[in-house]
Amino acid sequence: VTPGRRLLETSADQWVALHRSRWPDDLSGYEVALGRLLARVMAGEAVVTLCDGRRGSEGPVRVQLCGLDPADRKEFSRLPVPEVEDDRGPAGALDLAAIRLPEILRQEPRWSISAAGFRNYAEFDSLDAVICQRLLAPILGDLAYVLRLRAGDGPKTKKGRLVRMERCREAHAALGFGADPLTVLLNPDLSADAVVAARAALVGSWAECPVDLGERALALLCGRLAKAYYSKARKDGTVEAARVLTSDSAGLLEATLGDWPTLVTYLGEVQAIADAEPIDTPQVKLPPDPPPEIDERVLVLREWWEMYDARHAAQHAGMEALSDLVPTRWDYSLPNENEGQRRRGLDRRAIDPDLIARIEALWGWQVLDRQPDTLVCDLRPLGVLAELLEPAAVFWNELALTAWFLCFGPYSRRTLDQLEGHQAEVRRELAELGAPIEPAIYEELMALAVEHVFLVEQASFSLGISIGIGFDGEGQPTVESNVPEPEQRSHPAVFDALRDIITKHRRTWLEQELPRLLDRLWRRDLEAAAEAYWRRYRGRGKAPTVKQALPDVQAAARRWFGADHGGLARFLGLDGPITGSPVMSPRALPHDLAELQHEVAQRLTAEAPTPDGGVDRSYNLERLALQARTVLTVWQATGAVPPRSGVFGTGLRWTVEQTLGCDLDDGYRLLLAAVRDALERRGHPAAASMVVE
Amino acid sequence: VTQWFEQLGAVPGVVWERRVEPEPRFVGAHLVPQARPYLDGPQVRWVDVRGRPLADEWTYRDSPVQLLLEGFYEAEVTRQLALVLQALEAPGMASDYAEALGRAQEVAQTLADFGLLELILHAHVALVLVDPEAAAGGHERLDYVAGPFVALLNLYQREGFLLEAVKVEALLDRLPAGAQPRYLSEPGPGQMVEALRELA
Repeated sequence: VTPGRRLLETSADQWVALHRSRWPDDLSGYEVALGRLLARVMAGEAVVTLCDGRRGSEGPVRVQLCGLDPADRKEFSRLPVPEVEDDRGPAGALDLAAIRLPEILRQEPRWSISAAGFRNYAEFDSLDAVICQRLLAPILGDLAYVLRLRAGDGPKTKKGRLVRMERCREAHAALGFGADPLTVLLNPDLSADAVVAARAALVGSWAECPVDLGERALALLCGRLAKAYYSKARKDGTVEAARVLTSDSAGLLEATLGDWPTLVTYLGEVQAIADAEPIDTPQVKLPPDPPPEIDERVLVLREWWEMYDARHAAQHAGMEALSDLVPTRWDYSLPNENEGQRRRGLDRRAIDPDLIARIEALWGWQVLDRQPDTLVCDLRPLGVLAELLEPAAVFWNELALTAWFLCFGPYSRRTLDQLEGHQAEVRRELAELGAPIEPAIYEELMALAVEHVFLVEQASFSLGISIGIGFDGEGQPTVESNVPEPEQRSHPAVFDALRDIITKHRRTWLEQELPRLLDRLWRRDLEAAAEAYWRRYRGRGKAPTVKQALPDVQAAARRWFGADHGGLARFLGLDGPITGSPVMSPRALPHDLAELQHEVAQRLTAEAPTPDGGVDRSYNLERLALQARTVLTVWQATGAVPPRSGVFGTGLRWTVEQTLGCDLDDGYRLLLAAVRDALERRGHPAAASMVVE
Repeated sequence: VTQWFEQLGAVPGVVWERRVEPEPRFVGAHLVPQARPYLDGPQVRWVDVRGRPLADEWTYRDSPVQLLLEGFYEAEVTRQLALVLQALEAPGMASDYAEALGRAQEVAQTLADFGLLELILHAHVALVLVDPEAAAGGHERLDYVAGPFVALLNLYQREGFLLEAVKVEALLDRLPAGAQPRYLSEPGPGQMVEALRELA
């Protein structure tokens, strides 16, 4: 039996003895440093202080450890600290409430959990923060779990709670603390005073820590790592690093033994072949010219840009604003909004029918994660197109729309002088993609603001209201109120001048930079796919299955190969099951999905038992009816409807209860019945499948 | 004439110990019928001990509680605390105290004074239970009154005071249909008591 397996079979209070015989000698100073720090934290010393981070009081907090001995700090410096790449820096959730609990409980014994606050959002760009994140939070978080359990936090299932509670007991045993206070706190019939006393007894017991606390703490963390290792290991004790190292366990490894080979040695196992002798995978080299699949798509993208350029160049006073011309990744509009005042859908209306047909043929396909071998319809090809238009379309659109709304109102998000600063990020992105923007454009635009100051004046949002009170002929009082319309802006000549400057620059950019940008886009996507795929391949030591490989290649396949990951994989010279192409589903969707969806909404309106029919309700019903698309897409892939949870998740519970007056399961049955009726009216074969299994 | 009280502590069923001396100018203030009621305007008005109006004619927010709360959002938190505590000692209607208690809750949370928060929430819950509609200030505002119940329940549950949280949870049944809270975090205290029994 290897030491690692022995560790698994030993009770946690014995871990430290085994750990001592396996821990590398050169890391003993690290154990001592951790022991000293933990002892101070457990004794309730104010070790952790918080202050505003680089983004001020609204952003993540900065964590500092007080009184850390320089020699100890040096020991901790083996922990990797993430680098700050931009002014934002790495940040994330840190269980500061658990870390500070011993300190806060001594100041506020009755309301200590409230005083400790909730999980905090902290910067992770300093050694102090990393010590908290990797060492203090995992240990204190496990110790304090019983208090979280009483509050109803953490896992929501019995099994999940048992696992966490077992970890809590294990942590107490491994660190040499008694379990009695835990048992007391599991009693649901304690009064508030009794809870306060039991909590004080628990946290007070942590202050009496053993002299070998550092060793015990690392034994606990290594024990956790060993469990992660053996949950995936084969009978012969081998397992590939890539299969064990999730973001949690990789952090644990960094905080303990540092690297994979040292962990394997600690456990007394041997490395898996894939790690010991990594497979050589080919260097991906893309050919100078794109394949026909990509050529076709690049051509359509160029035609879209020609349309975009022509529409903006011809824009003048009195025309429809072009705010919806660029498609977005997600469609936020609902079908019934067309009946409203604002005419939507310019992203589609503006495109020539022939071009729309080509867009649908090229980007109207997808495979679902669970059915990667079947091609089904992507009901929103413009969403995929939108991914390929960013960030260039974002840049040009902001310029053109700012000019329009500054000249014709009702208001513009930005004034002309704010644009250069605001667009710095998107210009940087474009420059990185090899399609930089000439900053001279801002100077030319701003030259117009000298004469027309409204271009740089923030429009005011204030509304006036006037009320008149009088008496009518019979002496009864009358009240009149009047809300004046905001001042109408109209500066056609200024707009024409701004438009011409933007058009001139855009045309130069389209001519010189767009071809390079489009070339970079497909190369970027394909290289990223190949790299991710081969990384996975090396980690496993053999070819991944289609489902495993899909996350690596899916995005590139959807954008450039009509979701045919096999075609993409063969082009990239990948090896393994992913090179097989998905097959077109034999099941066809109804042609008038938007109309069908609207019928579903109407049917739900009639079925829903709640009598009041406010605006919110019809909006919610349209939202629920939107899920008909999810149902039909899954039907196209599998021939059956998805389970309720895949369509009406728990996030919709309140909406379903309020609008349909029933629970999620019954709500889903109503939806399916409505879809079935709509399909039956069309004589569509899917109707028969619209039943919950 | 609408029902009003000398101070929060005078509302039957509400326990509130005086923490500050009442503001002298409002001692003896009371409600009288509006002399010249106007359409849907206020039908009553507040006057001081000598019968002089406390605010302009046809003003809705003229109770001593509301007048004391006027500068609340411009004040520093310690001044805010003084203002709300004084408002609770001034004459007003149930809905006035509900508003003052709501603001007192904000102040206690900002100050992280959870002992005070507990007292405030208890008083607020009791005030609502006496007459939910009066505390809400009208039937159409009933959906606001569950707030203090939920806050008190969460305060107890967060600390693991499950027995106390279960009692508050049971009080929710005494609220009328339109006053039930829209959202209660799950699992609630009752569920947690069961979960702990399962684990034991």
